[in-house]
Amino acid sequence: MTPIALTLAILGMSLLAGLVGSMLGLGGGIIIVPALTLLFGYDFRTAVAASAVAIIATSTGAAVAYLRDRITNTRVGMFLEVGSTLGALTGAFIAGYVPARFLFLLFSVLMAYSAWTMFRARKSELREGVVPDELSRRLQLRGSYYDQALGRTISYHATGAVPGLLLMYVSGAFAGLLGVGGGLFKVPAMDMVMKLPIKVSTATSNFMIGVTAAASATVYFVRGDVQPLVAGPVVLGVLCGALLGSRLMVRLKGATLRLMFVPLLLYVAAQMAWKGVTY
Amino acid sequence: MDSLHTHEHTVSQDVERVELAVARLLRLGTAVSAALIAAGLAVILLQLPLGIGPHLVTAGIIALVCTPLLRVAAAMVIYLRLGDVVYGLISLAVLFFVFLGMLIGESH
Repeated sequence: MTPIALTLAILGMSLLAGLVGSMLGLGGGIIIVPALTLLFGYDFRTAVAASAVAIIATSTGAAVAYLRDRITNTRVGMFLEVGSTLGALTGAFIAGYVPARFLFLLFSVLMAYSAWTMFRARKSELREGVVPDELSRRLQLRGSYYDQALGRTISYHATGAVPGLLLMYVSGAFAGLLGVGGGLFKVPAMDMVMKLPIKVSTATSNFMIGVTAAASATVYFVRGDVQPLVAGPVVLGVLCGALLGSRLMVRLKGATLRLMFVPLLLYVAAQMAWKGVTY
Repeated sequence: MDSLHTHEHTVSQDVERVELAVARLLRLGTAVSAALIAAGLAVILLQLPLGIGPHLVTAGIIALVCTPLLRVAAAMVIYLRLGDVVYGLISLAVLFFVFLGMLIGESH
């Protein structure tokens, strides 16, 4: 393959990753790492480093549209990011002391449970009658946005601020320990525990994963793992995909987004179970 | 009740100001990063005798990596300027934990 053809192929793959990642509040690493290693033959470190940069590209590429449409809730994101970043630090500290096999299996069970609850809620578009808890009220974890798919303004309140924060802590710790779990854990937690609309959950997760990935991307950068000829086209492709995905997501129904999540969660649950069994 | 509504309206306006300012910053960061990376890739792939291709791509990636942190920093400054100390401190805590994560990651 000529260098130009290779760059174009990476651009195309990254565009798909950015599209899916921005719509579902994930980083797109679920596509980028296997594609770069298995399809393009790059080593794992180069792929993971490019994936960390791609997470930021997904986050920033989608952010403008989500902020303009007021779907991202910056307050919720900032509050929960305290848990995520602290969890990631804990994960880095305790890595090596916790049996990885147990963690893989536990994460697999959590993903499978999330898939089941998302599947059960597949027909519900919005949650009615959510009563905010005291902390959510004090921290003003609420908002409103115009839902293009429903054709009306949706006002919402968060609830379960403390369980939500704890789950973000766990999500950050898993990310630090296993290198997985960014948006895949955050979106179901915001959707099911904090009872936020699924669109707000994915857009807010998009904001959060970018902040968390900035730390890991910097580390990969300093170590020299970020290769310009790999990360460059990945960033451009992901940015384009995220710009498209964020425009598409606002037109989709919440129930459709939930259904799109289920196979991804099941795939990761199976992948983690396999890693746990064969570790 | 009226004062409650007025307060809620002010809060919502403040939130909007923060989000619009952050969106503008993001648009700028993304545009600069994409332009640098595209220019760098063009120099490399078209084999132009400039020798700055990889540097341009690297500069674009650095601009991209800085964007989310600037986003948090900008939100922190705006929250504090609006007198929202709680969210100002929350944003500061996030920045602190991210930088701590970088230091720990580099030392491992």
